[in-house]
Amino acid sequence: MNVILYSDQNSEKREKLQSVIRPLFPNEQIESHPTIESLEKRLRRFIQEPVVFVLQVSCMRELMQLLTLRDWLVNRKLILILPDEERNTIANGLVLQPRFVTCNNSDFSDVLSVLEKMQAFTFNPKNADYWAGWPEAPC
Amino acid sequence: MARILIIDDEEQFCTLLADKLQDDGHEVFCRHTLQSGVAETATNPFDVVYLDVNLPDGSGLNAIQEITGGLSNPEVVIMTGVGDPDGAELAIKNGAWDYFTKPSSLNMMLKPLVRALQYRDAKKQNPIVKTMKREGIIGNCKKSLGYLDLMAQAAAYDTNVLITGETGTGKELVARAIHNNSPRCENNFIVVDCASLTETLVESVLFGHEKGAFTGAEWSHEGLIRQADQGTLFLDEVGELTPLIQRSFLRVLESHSFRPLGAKQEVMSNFRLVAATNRDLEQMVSKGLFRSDLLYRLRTFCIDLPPLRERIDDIPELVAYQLMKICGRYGSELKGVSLSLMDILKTYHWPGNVRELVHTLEGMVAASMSHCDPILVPRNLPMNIRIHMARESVTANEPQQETRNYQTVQQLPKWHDLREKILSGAEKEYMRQIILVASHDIKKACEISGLSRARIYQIIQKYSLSFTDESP
Repeated sequence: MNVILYSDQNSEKREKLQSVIRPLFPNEQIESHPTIESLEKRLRRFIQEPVVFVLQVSCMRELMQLLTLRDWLVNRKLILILPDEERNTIANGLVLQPRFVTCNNSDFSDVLSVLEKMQAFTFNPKNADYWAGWPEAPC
Repeated sequence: MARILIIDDEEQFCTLLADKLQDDGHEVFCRHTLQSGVAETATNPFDVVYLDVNLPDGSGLNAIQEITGGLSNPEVVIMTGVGDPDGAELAIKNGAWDYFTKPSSLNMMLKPLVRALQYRDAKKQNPIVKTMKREGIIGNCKKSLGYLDLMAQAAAYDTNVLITGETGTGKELVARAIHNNSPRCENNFIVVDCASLTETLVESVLFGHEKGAFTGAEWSHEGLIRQADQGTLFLDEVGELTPLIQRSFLRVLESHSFRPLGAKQEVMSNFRLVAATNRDLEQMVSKGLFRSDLLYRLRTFCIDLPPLRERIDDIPELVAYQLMKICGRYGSELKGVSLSLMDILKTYHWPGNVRELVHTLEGMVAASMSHCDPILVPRNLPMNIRIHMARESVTANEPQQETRNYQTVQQLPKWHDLREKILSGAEKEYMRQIILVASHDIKKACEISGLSRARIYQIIQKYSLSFTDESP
């Protein structure tokens, strides 16, 4: 399972999040995008499943920019880290249809725990049918 | 007074039931073959159809959907002379109102009629709005319309809904559409991905916590159940819930109240519950893996989504819709699909259903970008599908030779020759599959097949197969 990580290069929490995720995924399994433009470019190319998107949002403006990519993110496994837990922020975040939502004031152990469970679920032979027939990357 | 049709080949039984129904003031019609009965429902309105299973020209179970889809969408009550649990299950799954075994007392036969008529009356008084936001749900074939109708009913009422179906059939899409067409649409649709919740996380994620509730709780957190207040709580992959989490959920579902960690008081949450799974929850209950009381709570209203291979007629529309989206995203010109490719897309069995179709199309568009081909052709298909289709075409031809009807005694082969030919064919095909599945690794092939290395070499030599070359 690969991780596509978006976290603004200027975000204070970026390092902390990466330090939590990296022990679980080797470098080659994590694709890091420091800007929304770079994430958008990536979304325009073929994405080989299984993949989990982790989007760390540091402010409302950034969340609004991410909402413009909504159509490309739905139907993907998505973990969303919001700047705060205000009702309005959560309601906007839910538009991206995340599988798990947490907040930047977390120590990210919850993100790690969810990623671990997703990885275990993906590679559990009893869930083989979940990934049945997913195509290989185009040559 | 209701209009009732009895489809049964036993004339005596028809007369007996018809007399009783007429005495009760209903208008009754009888047909003695399946074909004539189905034709009757297509042209005349009925409220209830009593349908026999074993009819001279077919099984009534196969005609339920056609009858319920008839002119007046009648309710179907199945009657059979043989008690058959599988038949009963199939009848209900196909949309029958009720099922009883003959002979039953007349009163027993009339019971389902009373309930069905009450239901139809209620339906007439509260007609379900059929205009819905489809939210990207594509399909107009009979099976799709069947579940869309159920979706509309689910959106109109506030009951718990359980959505079942194979992986990739669009359970979450349907759950969202139910929410978006319900009176709760202005409020949150909260997803609980049961496959990603760990037992250590579950309480704080679902119920939330107060600041200082536990070590590390430096802030208060509003749980998902609170966030779903006035909206919809969607439990995805509900079959993955561990027993501990099942217990926690059951309590919340019963009372719609919970206590956040560290809080002094219970908090109420008025949410509507929708759950989805591709697991057989009944079977999990019988194995002790899922709580029966939780299952009863979840399945107040059930929607079973058909696999894509049962909605072949929807494939062209699905392909057109998805290609438009994908090409737009890739910034490419809209791609067309050749007739031969469409034939393959309609023949392939799609184990990953719509999700697999979408990703296949995406892969094909991505691959064709460098060539600027305006039309997608079979060659653009991913290798796994091309191999599968090639194999299918070979195996589809093979059995015909063995199951042909021999016209003369001379054409009949000797028993031993025929057996040897069939066994050899099966053995060769099995070994070819093993080689592929084991990726040409002899050790793995031994593990999978349970055969010794020597025996495998013996078989591959016999059929001129090879562990390094796929084509014998």
